[in-house]
Amino acid sequence: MTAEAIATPAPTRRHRPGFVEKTLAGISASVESAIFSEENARRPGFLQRRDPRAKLLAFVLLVVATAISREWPALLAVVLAANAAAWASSLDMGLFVKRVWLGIPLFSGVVIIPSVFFIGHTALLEVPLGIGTLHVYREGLAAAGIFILRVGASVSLAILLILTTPWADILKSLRFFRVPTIFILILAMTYRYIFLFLHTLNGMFQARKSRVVARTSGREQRWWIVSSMGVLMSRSFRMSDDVYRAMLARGFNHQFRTLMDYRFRVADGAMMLTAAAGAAAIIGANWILP
Amino acid sequence: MSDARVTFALEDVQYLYNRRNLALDGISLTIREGERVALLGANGSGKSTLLKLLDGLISPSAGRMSVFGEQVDTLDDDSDAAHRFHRRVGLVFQDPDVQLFSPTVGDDVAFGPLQLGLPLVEVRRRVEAALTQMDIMHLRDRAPFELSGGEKKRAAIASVLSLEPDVVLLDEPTASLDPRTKWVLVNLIQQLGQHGKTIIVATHELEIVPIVADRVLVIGENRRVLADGPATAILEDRALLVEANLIHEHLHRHLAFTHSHEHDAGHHGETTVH
Repeated sequence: MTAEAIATPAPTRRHRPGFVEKTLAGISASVESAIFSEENARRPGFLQRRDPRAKLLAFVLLVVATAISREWPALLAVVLAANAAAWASSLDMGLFVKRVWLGIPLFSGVVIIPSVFFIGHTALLEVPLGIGTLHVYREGLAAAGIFILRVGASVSLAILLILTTPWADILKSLRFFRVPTIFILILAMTYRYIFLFLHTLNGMFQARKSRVVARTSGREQRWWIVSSMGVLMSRSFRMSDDVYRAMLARGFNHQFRTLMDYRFRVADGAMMLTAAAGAAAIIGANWILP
Repeated sequence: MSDARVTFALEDVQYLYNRRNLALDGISLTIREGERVALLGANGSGKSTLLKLLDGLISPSAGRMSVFGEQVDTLDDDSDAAHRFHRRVGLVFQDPDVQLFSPTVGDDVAFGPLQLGLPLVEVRRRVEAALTQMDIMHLRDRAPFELSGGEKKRAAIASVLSLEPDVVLLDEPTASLDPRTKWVLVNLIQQLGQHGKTIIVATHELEIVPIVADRVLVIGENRRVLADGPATAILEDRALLVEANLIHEHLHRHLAFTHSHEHDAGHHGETTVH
């Protein structure tokens, strides 16, 4: 082979990412997303300054009210209020809207589409098909719209909470709802170690990628995935043993206590009262609105 | 130092992993209050096992061990004796990810004092003191996955210091750190010793030994104590260090002293003078 032949690459097919690249990209995206949320939660902003317990209570009240609501004006008001709160909390509005509407509500929309054609009796539109005619019903369309709006409102509230509250504070605030401390400890440790194992997994996938010098068969790839799962599980068992020892070394006696350095201020109380009034209004709208 | 009270006394201690793999054999040693001791040994010589033993996390398979004058051959995880023990002896694990199991650095540093059942005012005071001492107050609300290797090490040490133990055991505290972070940690360990705490550091990095320790215990590859003496004397005993697999006869170390020697001409075919 001449030097020229080596220097000039032969025309190749467009590279399609394999499972290794996809897994690596997925791992990076998960870590980036978590770091992004934590960074947002530490920014100065309206909701970031609020007591996490007050935020969690307000969130629960509003989500329950949203789930019960059957009125689109009330649901729209929740979406607009969530957007206003996101703006007041210095969140990137473009990203916030994208996160809310490009995910679960869109998926819910796909799921609810058949109801547009089968629920109701007032036909708005006729879609002629070869074997018959499909009708778009007003009642079905309204039900689908309310469903999507309800999902959008709930997701807006959830993303608002996640982006303005560090995960550690959300977990600690669960104590306020009398969630057993051991359950909170397990959740916290799970969240903590997921990132460590993602890091380990990332290393394993990169190590494999760097050593693959020929095309591998599907069977080999499946074998590798199974063996890497086994390795990761074995590491996690070993680590859980070490972590338990580290807890014992610092006096762990199975009576878990946490330090809550939160201060409940007047503004937190005002926010909770506003959320409670808002939730009552959303539920009340089911009877008040025509 | 000889008048000081005995902190650890081990007599012919043996430890078997899985009841058959020998990890430590015939270990006899005495460590007194306020001593600064380095445990030197090659990889797999049993340094980490010895530290876990000294921290009461594992019990000797054979032999006798006493800590603060009390026999602690077996320590039940949940016993009062175990809790009392861990108030006085703190272990910084080699892998900081093992030690930092809480969602934030602040929670991790508070974990020990909270387990002790201390009043919240005292817990907060200890957390602030430990974070300040390790110069990581700004990391208090950070999640461990956001920290660099050096920051994790500091946080791990802070999580032990908040217990205000009399004895601090450190397992490879400077492993895999960049030079600047390494020397910052070495200085911090040195300061701990100056505050009168008993310090036991397991390492195979010889350059930090003269700074963090006055006495050196060398554990050989046979998992027995190979030598015990003043740091300067041990570090100058080249034959001993080669035997313990801490230096290679053709690799050169540069400590506080300089030396010169020649290689065998037959080996490299050249002369290296330092």
